[in-house]
Amino acid sequence: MSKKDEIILIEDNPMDSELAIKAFRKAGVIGVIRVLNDGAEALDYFFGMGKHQGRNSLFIPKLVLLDLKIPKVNGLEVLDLIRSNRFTRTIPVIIFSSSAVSSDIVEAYKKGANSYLIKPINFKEYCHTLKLLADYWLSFNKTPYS
Amino acid sequence: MWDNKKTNTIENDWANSLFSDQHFKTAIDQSPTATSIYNFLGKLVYCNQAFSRLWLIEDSKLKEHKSSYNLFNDTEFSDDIIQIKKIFEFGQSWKKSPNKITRSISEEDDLYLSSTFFALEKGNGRIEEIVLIQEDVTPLLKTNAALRKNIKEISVLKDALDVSNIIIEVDRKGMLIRANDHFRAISGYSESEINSISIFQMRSGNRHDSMYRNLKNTIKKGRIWKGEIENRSKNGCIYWTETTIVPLKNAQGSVQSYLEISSNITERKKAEEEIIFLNYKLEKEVLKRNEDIRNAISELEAFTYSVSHDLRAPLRAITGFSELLNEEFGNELSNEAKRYLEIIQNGTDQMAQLIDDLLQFSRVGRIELKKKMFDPIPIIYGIINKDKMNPTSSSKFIVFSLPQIYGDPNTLTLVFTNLILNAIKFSRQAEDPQITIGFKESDKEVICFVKDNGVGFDMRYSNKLFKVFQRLHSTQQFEGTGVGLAIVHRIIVKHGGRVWGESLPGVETCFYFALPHKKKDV
Repeated sequence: MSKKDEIILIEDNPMDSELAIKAFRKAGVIGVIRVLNDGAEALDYFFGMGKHQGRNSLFIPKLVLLDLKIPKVNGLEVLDLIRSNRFTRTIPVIIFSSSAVSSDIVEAYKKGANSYLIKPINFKEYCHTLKLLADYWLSFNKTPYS
Repeated sequence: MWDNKKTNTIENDWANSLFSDQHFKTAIDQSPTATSIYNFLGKLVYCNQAFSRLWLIEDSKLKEHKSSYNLFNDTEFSDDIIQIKKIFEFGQSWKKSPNKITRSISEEDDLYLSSTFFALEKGNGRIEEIVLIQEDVTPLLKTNAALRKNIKEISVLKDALDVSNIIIEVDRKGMLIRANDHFRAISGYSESEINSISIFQMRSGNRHDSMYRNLKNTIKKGRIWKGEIENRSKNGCIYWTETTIVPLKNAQGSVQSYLEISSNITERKKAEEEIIFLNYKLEKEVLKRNEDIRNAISELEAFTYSVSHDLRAPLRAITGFSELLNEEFGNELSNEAKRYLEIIQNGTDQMAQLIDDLLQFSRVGRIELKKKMFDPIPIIYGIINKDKMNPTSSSKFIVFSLPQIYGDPNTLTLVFTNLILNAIKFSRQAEDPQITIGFKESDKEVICFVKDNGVGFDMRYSNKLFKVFQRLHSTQQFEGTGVGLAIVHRIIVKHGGRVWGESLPGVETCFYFALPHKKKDV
């Protein structure tokens, strides 16, 4: 992974996003970790609109971590829109949620999630989970653009 | 021809003097009417064969009877002597009204006789004999009495029918021929209007097509029709009748008219309609109430779910940042500060467990059971093997063979997990912890049990076992949130089963759950 690689964190809770950044850094992630605070901002970012007007939407992030319960446009809707656009549909999207409800999991996969992770409450487990995630998706996994 | 030999008991002299014509005498002799002749002294001078038969006089006794009998001494006529003597004097005839005669001891022989006396005038105008003609009128009287009784009964019935029922007769075109008072009272038509109204005017006009079709078809065939009819009175009021229509046939068997006998059931109909309306209202209310309850439940569940869910984020922050505090600034912290951090960690771990359990409890409430027959043994061994991997565990397990059980495998796995982990937990401190899993089967259900030799519980609190957040042991003694058995209870009740626990603390504690058998396909 290089410094140019970008990880997108779609997460409305600043404590959660800070913990995630801490955990990623502890795991040795050196790239950009960009936090988008709600579903609407996420869509603006991906499609170069609003506050992210003019962003080159051809620049594809290395990994997207998507929380399901986010304001304005919820996680599943965001996923749906990412998957229905030909520029964004190949972005690896991993659901990172508190929800262990099977209907959420099924819906996420139906809409094209690449993986589904439940946020552990215990911080050690949390760090462990994000380390495994970073190792796999950022190092081993091949994406169409890498 | 007159035959002397046959009638030798009769005094021929007398007879000959009476009946100048032998043919006439023969006719009287053979006549079916009991005929006897008496002289003015009351002596029997002649009687025919019918007389002998009537009075049961045998031929051999006839002569004796004739010589001894006297009309004026007969008790039967003791009240009539004056009348009889008048006949001798004035030559009138007299008919005695029928009276009851006792002929023998048997009551069956009793009969009613009508007696007619008339004078037998000689050529010179003198009356020397009277004739008595006696007729057995018993059958006639009996028939008359029966008829009178019938008539009386019928008239009583008719009166009763008239009072209680509406009776009309309608001709083949549907015009009223006659109607009783009851009809006039209820319909409002006057006596003079009766013959000018048709049956069709009387019906309500509200559509009951199939009923009228059935009525028409039935009575056309000459059969009796019974049913309920909605009618309209002269002033437009609706009244309901329970009606029987009887086709009246003439001697040739063709229908001449129809007799309609009805009782007024308007009140009953009103009550029925009211009941239907009330039922409808009640049903709607129940449906609404049910929906309210469903909404309340799903709202509550959504709330529980959302709370459990949203509680996780701050909890994660607490654990995360206290951990980071320890990691990044640990060397700047005093031992006491580190102890506080540890307490925070333990508290959050416990809360995390509580939230997880609560979430599961809430989920179990909403989960839809997918019932099927399955073998619980692999599930049980799965749970046991996990425990065996724990080096601190010293529990021994005895698993009896279990039958296939009918239920939702996913939720029942939770049941077995909770019961077995409880048994492990509460027998941990026993000297030789032993857990037994088995079953009993009855006609109605399969009962599974999980037994241990642990601390058990005080049976006085057994009613609290399955309540959520209810614990019978302190957290220091045994960790736990008090949700496990509540989940078990929820799942088993959802299956239509029962769950209960029995304990002799320190000796044996057993939890049972009973699941109804699969219903046989009908």
